[in-house]
Amino acid sequence: MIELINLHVKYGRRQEPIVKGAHAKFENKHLILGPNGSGKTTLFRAIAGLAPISSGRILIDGVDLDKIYSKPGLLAINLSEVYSVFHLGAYDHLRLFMDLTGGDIDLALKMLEDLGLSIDLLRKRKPWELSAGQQKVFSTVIALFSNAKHVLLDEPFEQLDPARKSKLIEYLREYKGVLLLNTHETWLLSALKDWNAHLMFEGRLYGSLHAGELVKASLVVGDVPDAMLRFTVSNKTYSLIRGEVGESLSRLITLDRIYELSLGEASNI
Amino acid sequence: MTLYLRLKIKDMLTNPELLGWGIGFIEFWVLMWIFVFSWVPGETPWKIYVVKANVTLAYSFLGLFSMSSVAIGLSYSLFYTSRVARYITKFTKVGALKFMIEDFLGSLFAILIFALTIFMSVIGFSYAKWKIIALPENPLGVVIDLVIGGVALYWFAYMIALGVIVSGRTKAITMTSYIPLIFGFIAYSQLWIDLGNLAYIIPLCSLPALLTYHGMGAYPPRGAYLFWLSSDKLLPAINLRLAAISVFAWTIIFIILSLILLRKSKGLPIEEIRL
Repeated sequence: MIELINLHVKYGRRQEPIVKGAHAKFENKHLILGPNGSGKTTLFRAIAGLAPISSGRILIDGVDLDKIYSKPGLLAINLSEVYSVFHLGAYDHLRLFMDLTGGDIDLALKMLEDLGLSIDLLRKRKPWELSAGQQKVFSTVIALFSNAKHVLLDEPFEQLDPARKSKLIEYLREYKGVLLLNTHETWLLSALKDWNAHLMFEGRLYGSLHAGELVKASLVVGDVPDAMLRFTVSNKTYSLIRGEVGESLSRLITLDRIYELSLGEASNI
Repeated sequence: MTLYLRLKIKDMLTNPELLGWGIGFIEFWVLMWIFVFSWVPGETPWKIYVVKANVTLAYSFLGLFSMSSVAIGLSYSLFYTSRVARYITKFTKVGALKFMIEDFLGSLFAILIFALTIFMSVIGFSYAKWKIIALPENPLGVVIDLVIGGVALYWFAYMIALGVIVSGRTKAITMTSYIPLIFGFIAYSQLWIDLGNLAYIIPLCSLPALLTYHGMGAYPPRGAYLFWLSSDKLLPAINLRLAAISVFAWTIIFIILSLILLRKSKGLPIEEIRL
């Protein structure tokens, strides 16, 4: 289980925190939905020890992140920056991380092949020479096949074609372990209805809710009594309510649209 | 040998920038030194001695130059892997101590390969020109000097990378990574000038004296090596004990400063490194 306790993350001493007081427990499969720039990736970077924690704590299986040393199989993340250690080909990086984590390279290669990345391509190109979509696939596969109990997937569907998206969803459904997946795309709510869902706006984490419930939820401006959830974006309060009053969350397609809504550019709320 | 160590070595020995600066660029100066700048008397009793002195100076100074060029790439690589190192040492089987040791050993091995390539090419080209195999008087001494130089330069590069991270001036890495090469140039300038007692104080400046001593078996001067080679005037000899103390002291200073900065950088979890 990953537990966040009043977590604040900021990069510069004078900078505003990017993650602001996050509290959560993640012990199954979780979607974290939020628009671009809401702090989702920074939250994941902090959990993986890649971003500085300014206050609060992160516990993984009850152990403080600062006290975790050399624990293969505890956590893996799909950030490309992690898998570009050397000036070497992608295949060497795959070999390295499967070796360091005790992962299964044959299974990883099979999934990479399934998702359109051949071993020849991996031998020829360095990780940063792959296209953005290929880089995402490459790091997602390493994370999933690192034999880790907790896997953090940052926007794994970004720049994937529909066929690869559905293949990846199959892999995610079958995965035995704690999965945290962040995205700004609301169509995933329908695809992963049995997952837990959290929302993240302007560095604040909200939830959890059941993804299946969110599919049917609608977004309205203002503080509505009996709302499933209330959150603030650009000093405007929004409420998520059951039923079809207002804008259906799953019809927003991307949560980036929340900024348009907050500017009053959408007339249908 | 672990896969991480093997890939670290492969990374450094196949990196085109390191090969270009550490070998390509320096080999140009090796060729210039042997075939353009060197003058050796004809068939005189002095010929062998002069060739040997010339060759020793060539691999001492150009070897150091090559190693300081490689240190530029090392600073970059240490800078960019510092944050990832935190992830690797937390969530893979490589702990912080093992990571540091393997990174150090891999880098040192590669630095030595670069320096030995320059050494071998100086010997080879000088044989091609003068038909004399000018091997060092004390080969083990030369290798030990190169190892010490490699150790010093690794930690110098690490200290620079961490200094940039801790100061938060990450854009400065492009400029600061060249500091080892600047010191390499200062040491190189001793071919023409005598820095006086500064030779013992400036980092890396004493190393060519140790290499020259082990290569020729004779006490070198404190500076102005080319003048010493071509003139029969006596120059002040270097104090070899002070030269060795200087090289060791700077190596230890680089290591201590790196470890202090490592703690401040919050990159590699130094708390775990308990020897």
